[in-house]
Amino acid sequence: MTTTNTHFRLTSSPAEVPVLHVALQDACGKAGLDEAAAYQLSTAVVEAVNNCIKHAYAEEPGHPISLLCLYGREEFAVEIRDQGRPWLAFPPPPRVKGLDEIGQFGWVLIRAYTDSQTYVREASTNVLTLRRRLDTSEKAVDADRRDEPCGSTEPVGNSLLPSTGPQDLRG
Amino acid sequence: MNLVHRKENDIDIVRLPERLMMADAPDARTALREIIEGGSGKLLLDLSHTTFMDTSGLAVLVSSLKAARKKDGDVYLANMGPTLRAVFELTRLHTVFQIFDDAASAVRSVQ
Repeated sequence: MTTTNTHFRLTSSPAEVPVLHVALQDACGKAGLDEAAAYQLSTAVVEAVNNCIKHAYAEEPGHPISLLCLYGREEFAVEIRDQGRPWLAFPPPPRVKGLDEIGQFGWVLIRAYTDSQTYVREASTNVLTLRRRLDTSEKAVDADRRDEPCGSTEPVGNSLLPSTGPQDLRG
Repeated sequence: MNLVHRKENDIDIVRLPERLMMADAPDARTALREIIEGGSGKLLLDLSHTTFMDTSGLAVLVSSLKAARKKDGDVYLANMGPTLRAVFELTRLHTVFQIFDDAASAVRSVQ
């Protein structure tokens, strides 16, 4: 199976995320995702990168975030790496009980818009891999999925190819 | 970030930008709060130009809603596209906001 990869690098600055969003949608289009699927996958990745900035790096700018997008005929995978604080666990499903308790929507979207999420801590690096099957371009996004168990912390398989020609998004 | 603000009777109507993301969230939150504080508390957000909103953008809307309700007002949403509508449904925020097909019907309903 032919696999294509695209590598993006940015820093933990919110101002760089919109540029990444556009580049991701372009990469999704090249991978053959339709407009809706590209929107959903790029939304999930943006939320994951926002989490790197907000939680791993506590909104401190200048720290590295890298993304490796791998896509073939069967799936589109995005490996997101940061060197911030390690995760304690996947966040629990949120509940909207009142305006003061609203939150963690990022993970609602990540889980709804990708087919799998895996996290591993490699040395001092957080590695989150999001995968979306390409044979389900119209991924059924059911609001009830919010309450499903989310992701796993099993190590990511060794399917990622070496990156070529990283695209530097740092502004 | 470009917020287009106008008033219709006592309703503040603000057209949000094409994207509302983490980078713009602090400025948007401040601007909308100022509009709410300076007005009746009734804020209609026109999403006709908004194609993408991350959860920082959603948080801005929730923050505005809290500020509006403190003034016995509310935040109304209009012209929401299908992809954004899906985001609101996934996060259940469609149960928190009053959502209208277009700004005119929102104004008619609120007055």
